[in-house]
Amino acid sequence: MKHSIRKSLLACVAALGLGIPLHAAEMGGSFNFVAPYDGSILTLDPHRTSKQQDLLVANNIFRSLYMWSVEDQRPMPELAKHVEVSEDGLTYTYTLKDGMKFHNGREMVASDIAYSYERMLTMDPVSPNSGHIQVIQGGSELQNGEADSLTGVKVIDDKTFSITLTERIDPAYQFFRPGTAIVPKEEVERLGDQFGLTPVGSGPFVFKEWVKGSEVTLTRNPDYYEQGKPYLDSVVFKIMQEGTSRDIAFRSKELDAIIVEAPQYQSYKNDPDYADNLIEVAEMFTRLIVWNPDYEPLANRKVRQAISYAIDEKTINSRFLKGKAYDPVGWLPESSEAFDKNATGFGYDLEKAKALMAEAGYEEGFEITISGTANGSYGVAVAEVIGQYLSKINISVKIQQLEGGILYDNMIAGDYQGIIWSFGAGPEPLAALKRWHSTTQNTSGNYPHYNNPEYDALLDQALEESDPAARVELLKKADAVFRDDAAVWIFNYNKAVLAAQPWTHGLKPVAIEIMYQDLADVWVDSTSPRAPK
Amino acid sequence: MRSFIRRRLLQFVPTVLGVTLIMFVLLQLIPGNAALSSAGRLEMDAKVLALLKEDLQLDKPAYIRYFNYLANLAQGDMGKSLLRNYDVADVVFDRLWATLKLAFSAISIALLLGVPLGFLAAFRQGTWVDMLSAVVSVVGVSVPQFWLGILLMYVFAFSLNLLPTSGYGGGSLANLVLPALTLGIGYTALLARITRAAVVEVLSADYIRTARAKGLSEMEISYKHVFRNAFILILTTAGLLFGSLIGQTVVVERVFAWPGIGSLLVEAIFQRDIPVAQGCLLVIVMVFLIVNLLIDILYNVVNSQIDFK
Repeated sequence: MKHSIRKSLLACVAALGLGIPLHAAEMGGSFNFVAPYDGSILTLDPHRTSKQQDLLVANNIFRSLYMWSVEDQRPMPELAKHVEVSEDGLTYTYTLKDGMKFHNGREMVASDIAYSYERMLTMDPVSPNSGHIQVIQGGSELQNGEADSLTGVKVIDDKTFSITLTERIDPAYQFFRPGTAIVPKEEVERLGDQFGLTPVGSGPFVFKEWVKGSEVTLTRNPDYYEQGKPYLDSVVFKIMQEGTSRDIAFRSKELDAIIVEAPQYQSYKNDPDYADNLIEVAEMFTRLIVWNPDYEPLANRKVRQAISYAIDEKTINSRFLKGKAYDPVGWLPESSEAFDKNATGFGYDLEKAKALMAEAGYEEGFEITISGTANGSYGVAVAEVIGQYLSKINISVKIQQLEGGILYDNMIAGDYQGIIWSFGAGPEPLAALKRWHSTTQNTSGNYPHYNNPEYDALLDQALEESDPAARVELLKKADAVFRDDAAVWIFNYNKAVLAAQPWTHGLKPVAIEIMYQDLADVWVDSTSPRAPK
Repeated sequence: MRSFIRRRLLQFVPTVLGVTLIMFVLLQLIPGNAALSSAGRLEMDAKVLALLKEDLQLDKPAYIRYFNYLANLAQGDMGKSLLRNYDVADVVFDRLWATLKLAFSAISIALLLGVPLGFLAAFRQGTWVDMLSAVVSVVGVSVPQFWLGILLMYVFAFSLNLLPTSGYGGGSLANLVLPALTLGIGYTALLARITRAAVVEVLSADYIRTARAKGLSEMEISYKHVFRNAFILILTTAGLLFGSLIGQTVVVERVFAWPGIGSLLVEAIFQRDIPVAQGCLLVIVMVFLIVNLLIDILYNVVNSQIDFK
């Protein structure tokens, strides 16, 4: 009895945390959301963009083969009711769910999946998301023009198809991405370039109107395959890049939910009207400084470790970043499957830092330039604070503020000493750790040319390991090796925060990107100014 | 008059050519490229990146791209956006109307408030009215648009709940008020100062003294002499201001989520979508040239004695 009470209490707490409605969802109403990132929405054709600003909208018009499940903390099959894996772990056979229709009324069939993936590999200009599809056998050949079709995808009948991969990886982590959504061939061909302006998908909402640079309106898909969903009649994504303007619009009740930035976080935390309506998650982005090993002092492991000991990142996170960050341990964030809960980071230990500097022969210190953008959470302002800490071990820090594109060029060219930035560290831990494998090129993310045979070996073993638990253990070890080498200085995992109006229900802490909300689950109660009359 | 317009229109050609060349060179000098920008995130598969560069013709030398651009432009084709895959003309003209509306409203506010304020200050030289107008003008010119926008939004939208905070609202007047005011206030102050200076100068001219000596009423002097003469300077300034307004809407557009050409231009530069950036600049230059041509024609309407030769 006691056990069951505790269990139901836990369920309630979990449901609250996940924003899952405890009472019956109400139908109807409109929901005003934001597209808060830099720039306008460029296209709503999911294959043509990898920008969050575009995909957070497209995500609700289209569906991919898998979708990120907040409850399971991993991607789960979305379009298939049954998935079978071959013994060699390379071929996956899918059976599609019944009654799934595109917005033009046609039922989705297996050949739509083959068409969508082939389109991504053959479109001109090339799809920025095609990298995810290249894991399918024949993918690279099709993209390079050496083949006419995608041999790895076989359509068995209208409901069944199989995908054969080039290596043993979990395809869920490739095919869940909004940029790999399934599109209807006849509409793509009929609309041509206009497909990105008037998209036709199979998601919970149907495209209605797009006022360029201002807003996108979607309406309820009455034929959506999940019974009773979506709840909302319409959704409006307001394109608003300015945090202060979003804040005022939200407090004026013009918006139903917004993303909260660091400067506003504490005021929402302390506001009794909103404190209970904040949805927080350790997003899979790790904030760090990449050290260039070509700069002599930084080639020394002890110097890099000394830097890690000399900076008190916990104070930076709580004071300077106002608590809108999670303290770090290693490269993998808390929401990762292979995050080591028992591990600790370097911690703040000035004496140890000084001793390490002396051992490395740099007792007198040196000068270092840290480059970054104007970003408030992972830009030059944070580097200024770091400079104060490093001065205590005689390292004098010079700050260089650059625009993102220029910073990236410098990073690729190796023309830097330290760069402060935020890197995607998820969702699949092996793929996330593979960034630092010695075979990964710097253009694909291994900017400091990290090369440690022990680390490589652990990842190679993990790739071959079929037991999931043993695999996770290997990945934890690899993360520890990387952390101890201090090739980068990690200072936090992004705490992504959504503030919602009290009448909004069903928003979830989506760790891959909090703005990738599946609005099929969201509803508003009768207290909303946009509730049905 | 006709030959004047023809001559001015012909002058557009070298101006536009010069502007395209400067624009192209400057935009080429910025490091980074659209292929990387379209990755959205920093990391991208190296093979995909190389293919993308080839598809976007970023592997061709800059001078070849410039001549291709000019050749297409001569045929009325502004090219294709590197990131949007649509015609630049569609992307740019989609946003031009919103900016023109905003700039026109702002300059109207500036003319309706600034000119009378300037006249008043000039006629009441040295009095408290003049002092007050000077103070108001200095404040108006110095207040940063960003701060003013947020302040107006806070007061009129959040506290008083009279107007929507931001957005285009399908082009409704209510949505236009706050951004137009934010943009217009600075220009009102500027125009008030310039009007005052122009009127003071005219008032001290000999012909005004003569007019007074002839026994004309103050009203007649004001209209027939002061207004018509001072208006040339005011009109010229307003024309120049309107042109520069088009290029300066970016801050207001960002604060009020206004879908104009200014924010599109800045965005295109950050994304290295060079054809769109060029398209925006070209349109801004054309608007500037056309507005100033119209102003020159207006001179004649206000004062027919102006010689167009």
